[in-house]
Amino acid sequence: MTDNLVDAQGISDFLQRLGRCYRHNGTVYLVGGSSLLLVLAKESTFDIDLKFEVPPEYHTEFIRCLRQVGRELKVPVEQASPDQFIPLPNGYQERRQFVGRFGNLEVFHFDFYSVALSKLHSGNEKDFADVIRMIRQGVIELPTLEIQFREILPRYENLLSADPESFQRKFVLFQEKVGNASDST
Amino acid sequence: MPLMEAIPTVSTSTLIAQLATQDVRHLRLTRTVEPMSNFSPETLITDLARHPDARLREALILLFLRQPTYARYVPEITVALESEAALTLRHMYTAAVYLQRLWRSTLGLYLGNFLLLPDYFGQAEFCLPAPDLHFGEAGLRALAALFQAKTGYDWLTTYHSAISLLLAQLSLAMTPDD
Repeated sequence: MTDNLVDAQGISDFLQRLGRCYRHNGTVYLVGGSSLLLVLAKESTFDIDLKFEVPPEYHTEFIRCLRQVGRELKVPVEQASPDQFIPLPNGYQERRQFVGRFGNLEVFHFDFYSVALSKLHSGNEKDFADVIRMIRQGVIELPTLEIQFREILPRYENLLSADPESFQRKFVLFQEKVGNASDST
Repeated sequence: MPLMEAIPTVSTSTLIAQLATQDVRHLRLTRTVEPMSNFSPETLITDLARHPDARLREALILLFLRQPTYARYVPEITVALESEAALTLRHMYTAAVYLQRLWRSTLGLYLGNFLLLPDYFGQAEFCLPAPDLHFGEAGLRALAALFQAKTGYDWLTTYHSAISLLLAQLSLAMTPDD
């Protein structure tokens, strides 16, 4: 037995239904696997991670629509964003990429550098593989990612929950993996 | 479950002290308890599987991740245990199998090379995905869904908490004091 997997069509269906259910203005950012499905030709993801900005008076309605559409499509929907785990690198807002308009909702990919840094902060095998794939397919560039890692590290150290040594170890491990991946191609 | 069979052989404090000797240190004691020198891995695994406290049962996940060579004791113990404790052991062990695959590189940062836990139960008994499918995530989610259907409990969060605790402990142990 496995969970239901979500593919690119599933994301599109989800956004269309969400746009029909929620009638007010708002912004949705696709984060992580759901975003990479659309740009990396990744086959599937287990859930839809997103961040949203809606007027406070419509927050409850938006949540209700998220739940309703998630249930209809049998897709787990998670509210998630890189800034829950790491400081965001400068310029992240300008690097968001427009996905489309669904009803009154504008949908963007969250900044891919922020997503990559957040994945490396997590550091499981799937995260490493996703970031390597982002580099290989030109979604992000390694030198820029390294600069942004160094840029956020001092701010990351100021977070109470931070483990800077662990983050640095994982980043070095990732650099080794990228090197090994390049050597083998 | 017969009550007599479910009682661990030692106190909870002693079990926590025994776990610490195996580098599983996420549970803390308010007083010093000396571990027992003649406490075998088999007894530790058995007592954890039978323990009435969920935190102790779930410590099996961390124990197998930290001491993967203990996998060799598992098939025999599951046969000897009463059914509910045996199911707990198979469940916790299988969670460790998938978590180990999902976090293999980061665990390797701290543990070096380690034995990959054999999949005794995931595919054969629980009909779950192979450990390497989607780096273990497919199996982990399916295991959580299987046991959530049985118990109503959010097992995926439990598994993620277990690996987070272990990685935090390992990182702390490796980081020099200021």
